[in-house]
Amino acid sequence: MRRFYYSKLRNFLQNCFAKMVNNILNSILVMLVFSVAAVAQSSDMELDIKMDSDFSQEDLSEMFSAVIEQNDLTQFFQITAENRSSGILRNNFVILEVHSEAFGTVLTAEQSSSGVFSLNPGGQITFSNLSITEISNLEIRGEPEFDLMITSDGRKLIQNLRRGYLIADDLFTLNVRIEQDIMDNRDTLTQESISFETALSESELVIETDREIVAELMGLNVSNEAPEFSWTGEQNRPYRLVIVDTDRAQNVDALFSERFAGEHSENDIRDEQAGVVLDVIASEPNYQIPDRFAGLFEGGKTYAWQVQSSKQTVQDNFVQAYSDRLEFTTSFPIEGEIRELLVNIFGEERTNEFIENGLMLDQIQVDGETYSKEEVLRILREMAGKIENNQLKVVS
Amino acid sequence: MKKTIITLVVIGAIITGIILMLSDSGDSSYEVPVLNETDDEVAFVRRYVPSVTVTNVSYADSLQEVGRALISGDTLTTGNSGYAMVLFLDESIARVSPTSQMVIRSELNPEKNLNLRTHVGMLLGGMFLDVESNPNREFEITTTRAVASVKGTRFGVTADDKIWVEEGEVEVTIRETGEVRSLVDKMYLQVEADGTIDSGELTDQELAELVDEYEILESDLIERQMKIQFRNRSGDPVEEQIRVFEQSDSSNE
Repeated sequence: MRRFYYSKLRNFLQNCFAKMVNNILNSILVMLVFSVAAVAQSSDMELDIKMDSDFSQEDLSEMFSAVIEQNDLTQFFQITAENRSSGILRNNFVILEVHSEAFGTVLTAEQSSSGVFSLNPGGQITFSNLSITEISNLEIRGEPEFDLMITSDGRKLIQNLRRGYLIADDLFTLNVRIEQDIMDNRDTLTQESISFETALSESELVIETDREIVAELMGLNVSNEAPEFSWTGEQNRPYRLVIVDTDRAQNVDALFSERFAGEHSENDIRDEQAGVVLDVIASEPNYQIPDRFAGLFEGGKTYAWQVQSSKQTVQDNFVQAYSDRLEFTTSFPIEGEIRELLVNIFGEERTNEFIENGLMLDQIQVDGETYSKEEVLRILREMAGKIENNQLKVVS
Repeated sequence: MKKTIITLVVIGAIITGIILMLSDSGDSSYEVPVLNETDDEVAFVRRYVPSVTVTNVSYADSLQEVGRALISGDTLTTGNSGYAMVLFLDESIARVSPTSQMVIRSELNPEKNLNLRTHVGMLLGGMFLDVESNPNREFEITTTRAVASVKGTRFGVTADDKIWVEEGEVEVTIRETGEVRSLVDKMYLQVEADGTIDSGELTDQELAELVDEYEILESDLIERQMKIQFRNRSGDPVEEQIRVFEQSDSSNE
């Protein structure tokens, strides 16, 4: 009987122990399952990158500076990481990489191990230009500093940008990864990227000219004016100014193209036969015809001028910027033959008034048609002949 | 008493003398012809260069187009640069120079298609005429001191009493004296203010110069609008507009 009770008790205890062990094992198993679920699931960490809405390719240089200097004075982009899991995500760090299609990887910025962060469930951290701007439910160890690595190609790009070289066609990608470091084992929790394109700005290929300044050249008095050509541009940049005599040039367009296609030579700044009045380099956005070129322009002729400037792109290519091709016609001072011709029409007294008032003959319109300066002289001569032969009368 | 009679005779003689002098001065031997004038058209302005105006008692019109009809009694006036070519019904032509003024009077035939008697009173300026030869018709031009009667010729007359003949014959009556002179090819006559007469023969060049003045009226005219643009010291445009009358055939030369 005792044995029976003892044996029953032993069996009961054995069962209880077995159940208890089983329960413990089950609990451990459940805990392990939960534990695995709380670690390194990419869906647990939500990563979001936003470029500033005002960001344009013109800000590229400044954006690199902001990343390199890790300042948030001007926000160019924003990285937000949020723990969407119910567990704590520990030992996280951010890695940022800027990649250019033309230059390859430009720079990488990796959060140093001294500043890793942990996010509690629902926790969030926001970086702007790599500086923390917002945190919640966060535990951070040390300062969140970044180790920057600028590639040699990246250094070249950034230097060229700072030199003011033109931004050319390219595709930039900002890659962001959040990795977790567990026992020196790195796992990527999540990654995201954002891209933006850059393009050579058409406006950079145009040299603007001030309308008023262009208008000043119209009706130039060749007797006593040394004209100044000017345009909008930077100081200390070489500009090539070509002036063509449109009457002498056989093909004005071809002459300009031919000139700009060739290298400038100080020994070939004039070619009267071809119609090249002047082909010079100006180091400023203007060129004053020097005294040594006095008499360069003749009265009553039409001249065309254009400015070219070479501009370097960040990719070390050269592009040519041009001004519009502009024309001006020089006026006839009222003297000599012009005076005599005008006397025929207006009489001595009136013509003298024109001279006293400093007028210069500019152009003639007959029945709504405007004639060029060359034709003006021909028309006046014809009129004079007809007046002399009493075939034409002028009614004032 | 005797003295009184003598005085009265002297005064009477003086008054008579004055009356005779007055009645004798000017056109003592010339009477302005009396014409049978109507409101019919006696001539047309065939060509002109402005300004040309036609005035009469009831109108003063500045010509705007060719073909303006003139009736007897019209006064035609040309401005500083004005020319006019007047074509009479009998195909006589009067080319009028600038700054001229004349009164045109004419009597027509019963059919109203020919000028029988034409009288042009030249008040200012001058003209060059081409009068058809016809013994049955009369064409007369009066200046201050002369009357030119023509039967068919090309000749010129100025208001200051110069008559010159390119070809044909003109009979000139000096109004003050009634003296009649005949001018033929290249001859001219000038009645001076003091009544003296200067006459002679024109050189070819002098004749050409006189005729050439009217050359503009020898063919149809085209009006052109011209703008001559200048620039002042500030570079601003200054525009002068002029009207040009050009012979239509000269523009094709």
